[in-house]
Amino acid sequence: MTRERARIERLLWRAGFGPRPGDVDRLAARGLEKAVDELLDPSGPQLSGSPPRIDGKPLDPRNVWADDILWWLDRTVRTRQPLAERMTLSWHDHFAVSNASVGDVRLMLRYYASLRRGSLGRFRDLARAMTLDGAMQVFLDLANSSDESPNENYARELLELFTLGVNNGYDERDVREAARALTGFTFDYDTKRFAYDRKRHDGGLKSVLGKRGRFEPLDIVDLAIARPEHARYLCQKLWGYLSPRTCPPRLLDRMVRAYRDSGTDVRPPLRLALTHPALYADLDEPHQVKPPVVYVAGMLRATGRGVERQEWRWVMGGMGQEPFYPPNVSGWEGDEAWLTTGTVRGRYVAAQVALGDEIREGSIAQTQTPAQALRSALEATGHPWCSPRTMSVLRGYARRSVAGRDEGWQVKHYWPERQRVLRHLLLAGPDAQVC
Amino acid sequence: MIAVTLATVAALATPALAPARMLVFADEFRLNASRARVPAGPLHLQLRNIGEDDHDLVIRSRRDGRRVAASPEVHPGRGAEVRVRLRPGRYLLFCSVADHEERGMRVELRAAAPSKRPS
Repeated sequence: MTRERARIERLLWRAGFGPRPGDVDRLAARGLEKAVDELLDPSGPQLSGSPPRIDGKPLDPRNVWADDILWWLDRTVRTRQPLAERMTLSWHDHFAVSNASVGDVRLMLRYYASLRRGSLGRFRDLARAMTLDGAMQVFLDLANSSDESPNENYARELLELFTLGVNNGYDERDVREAARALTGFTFDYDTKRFAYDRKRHDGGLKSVLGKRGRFEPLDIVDLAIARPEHARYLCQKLWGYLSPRTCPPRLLDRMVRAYRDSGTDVRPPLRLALTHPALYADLDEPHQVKPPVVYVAGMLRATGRGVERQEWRWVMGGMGQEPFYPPNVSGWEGDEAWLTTGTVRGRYVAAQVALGDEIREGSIAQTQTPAQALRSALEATGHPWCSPRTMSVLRGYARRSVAGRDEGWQVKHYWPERQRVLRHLLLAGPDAQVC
Repeated sequence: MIAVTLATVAALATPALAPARMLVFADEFRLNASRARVPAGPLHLQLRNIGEDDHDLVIRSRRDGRRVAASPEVHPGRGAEVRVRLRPGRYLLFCSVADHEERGMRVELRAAAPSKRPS
């Protein structure tokens, strides 16, 4: 693989959900800079192909338990705008809301739409949209927080997780005062209507982040974003979604400047990060653990499959990442925490589900050579990255696994079994877990 | 009246009628149903307990007060399924655990005759 192809492949994993057949060649021909431009400025339809059907039925996320998870997973598999969709998932981690608390898929689908709409735009717009979002208001008790009893949950997370970082330029008094400014939103659980009731808003003077005024809810977003700590915090977070390594200080400085100069548009800092050599370090030793959604979407995209098996409803949970159900308001821990004894097993199961039982006994002739067997497995799995050492082990297995098994029943069983094992190892082995 | 009844019976007897699907989240102390109206006929309802107490779900006919279906009690974080065939009419869904119904865990459901089936 040429260096340019290797860089494009990494780009498509880090800034998307892995390549579909032909993606790497097409983008390598254009070059990295143009590939990044294409990702940052997507056009045309968001999705390709037809929506999946499971047991002959379309997904029904509002009315069928866990179909919401499959609905989101399907979007990652069929996306034609990988970075926008990947950033939507990253913003879901950043502005984490869980339906395990909200209990209303209708609200969660609107929340998704807000994240998707703001995925590659101004952070200020997204943060304001999140403040007005119904699912978020329910999740963090902003709905029905009144002047008589301001709830501090949203104010705290707005400063601590969404804009500034833990203890980074604010204190408890700021949280309390911000909570007063954020009062007035209402939600009627019977009619399911959200509103803003000025009579329930605390209209008094507040002191927030060094400023004094009769602040209203969205003023708090603007005050937090205007703090000098915000841009650096946010740009570090952006880099963290792209790489597990520390962001080079000079790159971070440039990202912060670009973010500020653009009025909190995330595209300029993303462009700097996605074209920086640091993102393409150690191409021969990938070091980012694929988040489970990326891992599964990547397998399905590479093999031309869709979310058409009901097993995905529980397999995602086994790997520790179900869209719409982050573990808490901090989102998923990520990086190496994705890998535990339980979730690694979940990843093996996921590869099995992705592959299905499509190789029948007796379907492969004895004339198939070990090299042909490995080639066939690589073709079927979309040529996933494999280290030279792994490739050597697979070659050895392809040779040994059928050696001396010449009887009819052995050929009928062991030749297909070799193919099943090779495909499974290519999709589930350690090399497949990183990008 | 007779025509309506016959039409309803005929619709309920249609063998290919797929069950309507519905999802209900139970929390202290409210039920959040994914729909307020379903077509009369088979219903496949899933209950998810997102609260901290055990909850169940009972379906009671508004017309005669009869219980037409009930789920088992469900622990927090778990779910249950109810499969029932509803005649046209109004139903009350509620949690029968302790005083949960009185505290707000109740919601109305209307089963509409097939000709009025929502798209």
